[in-house]
Amino acid sequence: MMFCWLPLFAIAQDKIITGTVVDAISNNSIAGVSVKTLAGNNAVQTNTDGSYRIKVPNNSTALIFSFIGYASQEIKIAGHTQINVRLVPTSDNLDEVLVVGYGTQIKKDLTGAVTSVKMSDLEDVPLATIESGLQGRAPGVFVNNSSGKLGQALQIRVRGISSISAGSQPLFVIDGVPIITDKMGTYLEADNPLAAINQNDIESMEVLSDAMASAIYGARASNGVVIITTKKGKAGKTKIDLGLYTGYSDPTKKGEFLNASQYRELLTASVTNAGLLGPDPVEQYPDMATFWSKLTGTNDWNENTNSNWVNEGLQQGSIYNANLSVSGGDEKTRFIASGGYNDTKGIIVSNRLKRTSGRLALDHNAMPWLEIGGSININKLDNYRIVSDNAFANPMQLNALPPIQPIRLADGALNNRTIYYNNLIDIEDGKKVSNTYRTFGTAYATAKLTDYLSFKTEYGMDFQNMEEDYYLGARTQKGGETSGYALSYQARSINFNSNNVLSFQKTFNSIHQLSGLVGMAYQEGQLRTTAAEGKSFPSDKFMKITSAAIKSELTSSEAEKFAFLSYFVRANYKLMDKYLLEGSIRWDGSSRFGADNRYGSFPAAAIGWILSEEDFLKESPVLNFLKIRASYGLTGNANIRNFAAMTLYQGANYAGTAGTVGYQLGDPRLSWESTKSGNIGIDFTFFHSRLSGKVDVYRKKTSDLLLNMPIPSTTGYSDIYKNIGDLENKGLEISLNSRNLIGEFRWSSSFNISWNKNKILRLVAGQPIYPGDRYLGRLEEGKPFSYFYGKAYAGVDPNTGDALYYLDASKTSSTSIYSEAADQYVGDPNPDFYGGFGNTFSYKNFDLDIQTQFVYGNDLYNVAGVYQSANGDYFDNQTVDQLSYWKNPGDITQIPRPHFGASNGTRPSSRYVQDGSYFRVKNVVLGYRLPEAMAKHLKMQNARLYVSATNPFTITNYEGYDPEINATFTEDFQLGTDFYTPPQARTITFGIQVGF
Amino acid sequence: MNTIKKITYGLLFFSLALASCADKLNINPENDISADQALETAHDVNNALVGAYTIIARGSLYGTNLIMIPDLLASSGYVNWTGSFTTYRDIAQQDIIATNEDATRTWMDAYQAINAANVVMGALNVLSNEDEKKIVEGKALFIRGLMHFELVRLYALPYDAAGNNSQLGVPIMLEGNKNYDEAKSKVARNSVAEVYQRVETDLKDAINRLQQSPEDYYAAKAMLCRVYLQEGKFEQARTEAHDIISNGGYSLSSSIAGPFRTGGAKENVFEIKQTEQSNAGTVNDGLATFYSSFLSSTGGLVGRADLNIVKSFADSYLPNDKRRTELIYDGTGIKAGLFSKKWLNYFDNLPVIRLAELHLIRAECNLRLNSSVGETALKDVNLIRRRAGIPDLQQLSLQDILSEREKELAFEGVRLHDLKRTKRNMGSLPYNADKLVFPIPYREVSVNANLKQNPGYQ
Repeated sequence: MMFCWLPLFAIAQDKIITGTVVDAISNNSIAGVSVKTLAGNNAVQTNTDGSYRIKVPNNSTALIFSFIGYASQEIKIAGHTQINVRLVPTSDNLDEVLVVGYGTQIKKDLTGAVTSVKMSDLEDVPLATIESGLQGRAPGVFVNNSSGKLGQALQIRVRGISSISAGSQPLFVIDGVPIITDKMGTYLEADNPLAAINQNDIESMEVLSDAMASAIYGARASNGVVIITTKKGKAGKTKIDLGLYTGYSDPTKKGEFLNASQYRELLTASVTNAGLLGPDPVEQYPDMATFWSKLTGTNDWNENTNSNWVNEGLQQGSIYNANLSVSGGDEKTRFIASGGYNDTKGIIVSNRLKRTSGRLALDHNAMPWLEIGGSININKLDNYRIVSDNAFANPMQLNALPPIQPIRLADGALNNRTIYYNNLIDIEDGKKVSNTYRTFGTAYATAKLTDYLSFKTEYGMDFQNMEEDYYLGARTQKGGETSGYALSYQARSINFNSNNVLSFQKTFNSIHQLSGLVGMAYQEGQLRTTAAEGKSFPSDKFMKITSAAIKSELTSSEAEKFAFLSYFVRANYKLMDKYLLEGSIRWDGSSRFGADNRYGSFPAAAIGWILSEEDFLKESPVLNFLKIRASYGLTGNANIRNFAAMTLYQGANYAGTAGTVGYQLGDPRLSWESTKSGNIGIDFTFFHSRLSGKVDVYRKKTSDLLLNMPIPSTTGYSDIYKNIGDLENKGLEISLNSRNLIGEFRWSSSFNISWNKNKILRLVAGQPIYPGDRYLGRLEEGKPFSYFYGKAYAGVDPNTGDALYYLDASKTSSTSIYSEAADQYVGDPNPDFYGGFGNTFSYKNFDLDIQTQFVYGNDLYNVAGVYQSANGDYFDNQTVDQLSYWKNPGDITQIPRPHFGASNGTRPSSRYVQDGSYFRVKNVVLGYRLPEAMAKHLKMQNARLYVSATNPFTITNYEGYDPEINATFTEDFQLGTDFYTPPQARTITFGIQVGF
Repeated sequence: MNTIKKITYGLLFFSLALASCADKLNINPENDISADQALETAHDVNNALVGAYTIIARGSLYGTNLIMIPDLLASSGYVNWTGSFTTYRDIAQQDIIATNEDATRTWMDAYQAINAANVVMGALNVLSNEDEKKIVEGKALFIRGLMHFELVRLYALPYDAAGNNSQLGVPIMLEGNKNYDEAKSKVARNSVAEVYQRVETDLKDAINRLQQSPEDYYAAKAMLCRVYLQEGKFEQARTEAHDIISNGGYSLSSSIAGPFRTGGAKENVFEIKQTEQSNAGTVNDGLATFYSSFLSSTGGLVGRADLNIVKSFADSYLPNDKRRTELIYDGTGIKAGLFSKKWLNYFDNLPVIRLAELHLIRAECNLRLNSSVGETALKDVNLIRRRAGIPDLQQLSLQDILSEREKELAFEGVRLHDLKRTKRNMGSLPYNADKLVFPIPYREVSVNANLKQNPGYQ
């Protein structure tokens, strides 16, 4: 795709208007107010003193003044050359301009459901990755940070889960470019490519949740769309902003495990009950010390060790961050240049993330009718990663090690004779670092063809290069087998995107406002990877594969590609400022769809009625604004694996002879998943804009779900991707914003709450999807996504100490035989509702912002309970609650009789399912703005000091580490599963922001 | 400059942009090839046949499970499972659940191998060289027969030489599936008798086609010999064993550990080849992974040491029996205990049938049939004992032979099948207990209503 330079000329007589803009309450001048002509063809911004100077064509009739946080005003020019304006603050920002797909819309005129999160509200909150800023702030958006690991992908769901196997993450679009958010690395758990983005470069994030707002993204919009807009330079005096913060972090909670004497007590009881102590030389051991030494090969039993392994896996983290940005320009050219550095040490030993970023953006009015510009953003991310939750090398699995085993041996070396791998050796004798280089570049040209028609062409590139360097020394578990192990992995993702949009905007007879666009987009992405594996090193002093004696089997190179070709049209019509009508359609073609089904069309339509513009409400003293809107449309999810529609053979190796194996069966009819969704919403503002809000109800029905349909493996294949399956989500979202106190002491609140109900409607031949084994998550028709299904734990038989399970769902009788108990519903990981509640206070130069967040009604399944809360069934250290195990007939307890190796009550069951609801104070920021005079004295424009706390406080009944977890190594449909998943960090930072 | 002209230019550019990329949606995979290109030439068909061998070498089949599980399920008084994998723990405790991942993966991969063999047989028409075609078909038949045999032994009640064997076996699959439209069948289980019949036919057909490829020819014969023994067809078993011993050119390795170390394989009639680049696994899978417990020369811990040998079993060897002194060692790795040296290094080849077993089969059949085809039973048994460095027996009973088999073939995956065919108890369970039969994997029963679950797992 190319840029477009069209030979156009502007011809008009101009005149100049000047003036100042002030706050109607405080009388302070306001900088950065947008001033533009009604036709929109000329625009400037006010300077720091609130003054502006704009050239307008003689035929212009009015100027529009708008600024975030204030009601826009339209002032008739009527021959004046000086126009001063007093803007009135509002809380609802009805005239705010929101970014939507391929354009912008005024909030008042929206017919779709769009939520905007301004990064200025999150300025002092240290976000690990930008999208976590949506948590608790955007109704309908459920964010689960998944774990306390740095650089890890989070779970984000817009209006519930709309897919089973094609991914449920929304589409992220940065400055018009749909970006790649798929994992790049080799770890089982996804890395997070968004972690490379510096939050300080972001202006806002808009969440498009309903079909009207999102269907313009067609086959990739079913999971919602998050549009990220980066900062742009503004005309005016050059501004220099410097921000610094530093702080420390701790785990939100640490697990409580047995100490050495408690451990001895429980294990002794367990071994004794198993009849393993006694005189029989074949089946029994004379005492515990012998038993221990025979089974573990160590003499730890008699040593006086009391190790706290939990503390070994965790540490106090730290964070250091610096940002500098310079912005400014004039009417002709605007720029912003910024740089950032962040170094975060995680709360899990060895976990660390370092980011360096730089960005430059330019906008230039080459001619009155032509604007060109672009930006380049370069980021480097060094992530010292933690392995997947289920790997023995996960430091949280140190929990399992017996407290009677020493952490280090007498010679100071880490103990490698532990019952499970002492993975601290991985840290001491190895390294695991991922370096990502990510570059976003965009370039655009906008040509105003006429007053009402403009053409924009934009080109974007998202280039990512990731390097994983992995070395494990000769004493490590993996390196031990081969005296050293190294993996070097490189992945390169190149994603090009081009948009070409012709937009139209015109008012007819002053009551018909018509706007619209027609456009096309082409996107091409490729991922190329190269890996080299080496084993057997001369010593740990050599860590590069060049020194490895064996260059081994993971050595490979791979490549894959995809492309999307799309066309779209959208039209908006507004009649008499009251009646809104909008429609759009997109045609999407993709290489991922099967050859027999390559293009899909995705239409949407919406209507809106601004009741407050009607005569019967116009003069209402209470109601300032009221709009009802309704939308319906079709969106898709094209997040299919590349080539999933094809039957494929791959190469295979039999002891050096090459062969082929058929490994995937494909359906050439495979296509996108489609979601039909309807939305009805109300936007309102009351009491002189003191209270505003919106309510949305929706229903989304997704069909043609891509399911990995299990087929009888007697066919030689075990499954095939098919468009089968339906599910639905319906819900209600309420968000309210209020300004409770105004004046010198200001207090405003924001509250949002979302209910979502999910139901699976149809699966392959009505067959539930249920991997079983140690997981409980199950997909079944008529049931919520991934509800927990398994044996229902019925406690302990007081007479025998045996674990009991309910025989059936009536829960009237129980059995001690696990296999006799019926599987049944034992919990639901989906929350009933979730949301956020924030309060902002300011008094004089102080401000305080408290953001909270809550999730209610979800269950969590702690799979690790099978090992760690297992009444001493094996050598694993146990949680302290296991001490109240059954001892004598008549004991009433929930902890069965310990019996070494007998799995008494330790098999997967509701015993390990708990309520995961929580209420969390997410962020507290207390700031102080230096008085202007003092700042001036220090040669600063402004200066602010603050202290910020993340996750300072949580209320939950969940007994594991942290209720905000989700073990991501499990399959997509295992939700709410905790498996040695690290907790979140509680972080305190101190910061300063200075403007020059 | 008029407006019309501007719009015209704009639209012209726009339509140019639209036209340029429509054919860019046809993207072919680079890592793999599409199935319709996979079986076009003789070379392609050979590749697919090699692929079938890679499947049977996986941990789900001979790489681990087909050798380890028959010992684990009959572990009482023999081996201890001390590992954390609950799937194997359940098997060792003879308390398997229908979703057992190991029961599932063995089933799935065995049928994948069968399908690979069937696909190869379906593509023979692209082979123009008749000799090559015979060998390719013979090897494919061998794999198909082999897998059906392993499946029916694990997933069905035992074959009873005295019965009609109408109990449910496993589905017999004889057609290859190459695309989705072909892969839709929901088959039912054939009877045990039918499966054994098919196994015999496949192996005999394989033998008929493999004369030009002696290695494969004798591998098929050895497997057929095992089948006959399992069926109690002692005459046929004796014939096969005798033929291989006399004509196969195999010889007993002088070193007791030789057959298990790559390169010492003159004794191995059928083995799975492994290399550093192709093996069943070194962390969570592979025989050495589960069996080994020692420190490598560079100080690393080798193996998970999940399976140790029960002391009483180790003590049942004579003190100077090399199979005790050279093949059982005290673990020095992650766990202490007694471990087998048969599965020691990650990348060693895995013998499936050794000449020693054929001597013992010939001996057992000769004894049972009161014959001395080739050699007397006593001489065959003493041949094995001499290699182990222990005194000859003077007299021989069936029990002596069975006990010699236990010692010679320990940890090689024959225990369960031997106990079943000789109707001996495993721990407290009788040979034909439901719990000694694997469940038909839960996922299979879920997707195929025609598959009946085994008793005890419904």
